[in-house]
Amino acid sequence: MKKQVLVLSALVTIISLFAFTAKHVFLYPTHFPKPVYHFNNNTLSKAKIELGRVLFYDPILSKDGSISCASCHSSYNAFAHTDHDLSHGINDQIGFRNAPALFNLAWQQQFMWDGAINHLDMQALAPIAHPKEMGENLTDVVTKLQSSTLYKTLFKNAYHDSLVTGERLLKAMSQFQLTLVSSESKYDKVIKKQASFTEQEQRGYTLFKQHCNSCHTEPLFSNYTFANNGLPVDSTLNDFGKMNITRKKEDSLLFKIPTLRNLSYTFPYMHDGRFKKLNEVLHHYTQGIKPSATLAVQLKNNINLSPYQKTDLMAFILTLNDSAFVFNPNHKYPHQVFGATPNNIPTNKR
Amino acid sequence: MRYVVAIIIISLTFYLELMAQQAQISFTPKWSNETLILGKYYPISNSNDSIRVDVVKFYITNISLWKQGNQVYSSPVEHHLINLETNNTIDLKVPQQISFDTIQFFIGTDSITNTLGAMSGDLDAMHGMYWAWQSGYINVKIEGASSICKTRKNLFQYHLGGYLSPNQTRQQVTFAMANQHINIFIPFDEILQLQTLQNTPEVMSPGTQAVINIQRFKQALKPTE
Repeated sequence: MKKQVLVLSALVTIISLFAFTAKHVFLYPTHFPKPVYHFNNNTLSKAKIELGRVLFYDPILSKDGSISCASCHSSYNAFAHTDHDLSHGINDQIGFRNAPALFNLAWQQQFMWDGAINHLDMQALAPIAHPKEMGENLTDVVTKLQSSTLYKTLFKNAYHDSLVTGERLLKAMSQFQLTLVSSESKYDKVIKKQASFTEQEQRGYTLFKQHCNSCHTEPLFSNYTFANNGLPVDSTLNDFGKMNITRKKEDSLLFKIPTLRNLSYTFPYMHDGRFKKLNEVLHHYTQGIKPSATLAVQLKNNINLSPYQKTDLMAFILTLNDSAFVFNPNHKYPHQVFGATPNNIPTNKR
Repeated sequence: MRYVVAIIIISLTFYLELMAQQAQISFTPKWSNETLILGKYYPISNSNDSIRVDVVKFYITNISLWKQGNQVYSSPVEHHLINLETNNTIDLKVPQQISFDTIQFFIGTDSITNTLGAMSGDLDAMHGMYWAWQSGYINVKIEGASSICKTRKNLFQYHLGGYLSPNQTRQQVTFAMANQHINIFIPFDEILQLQTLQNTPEVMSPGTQAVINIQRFKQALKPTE
């Protein structure tokens, strides 16, 4: 009997040790608030994060195997898409909105520029199914993955059996995206007292707190709510933002407030990518606001900034760039899995 | 020692299994007096048009049994996806001693379930009952074609859902049920009315039309035993 107890407890220890090492602890700095994502429903593990990363970079998610998530969310651009004002998808189709940067997603409750998606897990469905993005559906993606030896292995590693389900796929994709935490900018180092601002950056920080912080709230540099920032409607798109979803006129022209982190990597700016340079953005906030019924109260009075103040503010904004995040090898294309570039691998060969 | 425990557990499970009665809910689609067959054309009365129903899928949730106004049983499985192409019945394991006179359930998922992210089993988004462009479950999906519909390929598509006020689509249903089995007719000739097919052949987002159509679906249901 004693022997049995001993063997049993040894077994339990080994199992729990294994579970412990395979777990991934979600790390974030102490100056960040508590994440809103419910990790209890989707416990992070190294194998699931890895599965999510492979899915993120695999064009198998699109109808014709040509477009992956990374096509429009490149790690080198803080997971945004530079040079393109609007997203592009299969068959060279152009979408309706600017692909947003992906990081610090664990602190966000609503997704897309219009808030159409209420949970990170379900976000991936939108680009997968959009006819001008990946033009696919989850049912067919699951079927494709089920016949892939690569994914049989990856799902077995992650979930202890090779069964592919929509839930597992979506949760693994969430896991990878949750690990995209940007918190190593100069600003973060200053807050952690590991660095200090120059005089110019400090002046810019003061201006930022005065004019920008109520919407682009530190330390995430967005309060992740929705606002009308006074952009005139682009008549080629007629995009009314949140109202397209809620059908309430008080939501007209409300778009999700983007973060100001990593702006040097994520041009162009705004939901339709209309501004290529940060100077144009500052010009908009100081001289370009178009009044309308739903305009954010903070923008009802003109923001006056002298050219010197604009330079100071810009100096501060540049301290929000996080090169450690942008060049983090853990987030990059998984060469060890795909070998070559993803487009060179016929999906039926895997 | 181990064998004894195992034998006790097995016999206890077997005993509980014996003690349970099987209650069953089934759904039968109808067109007038006929049982509707998916993909088959039916003539529409008072017109020269015909209609074909291809897809019928819907969620039945939170089933409970009642006796004289008191709840005596609630199903531990909260969400059941009915797909008339593959499965039209729900089996419940109800303890033997329980007697009941009424069944209650909901058509559609509750609002909290719509905000919890990726779910498993019948709620898995891979069943095509979750909107991609906007979060939320499609509670009832009816697709088909009719020469009445002035749409591409004469298709009609009703993807009825919506969990936010004021356009919540979840419907509560209460029927008398004294026996172990209840069969519920779904008369599609009442649900897919001429005017609806003509004026709103496509309802694919939350809103008043979704509410109107799901209410009509609910009201058309007819219990038989």
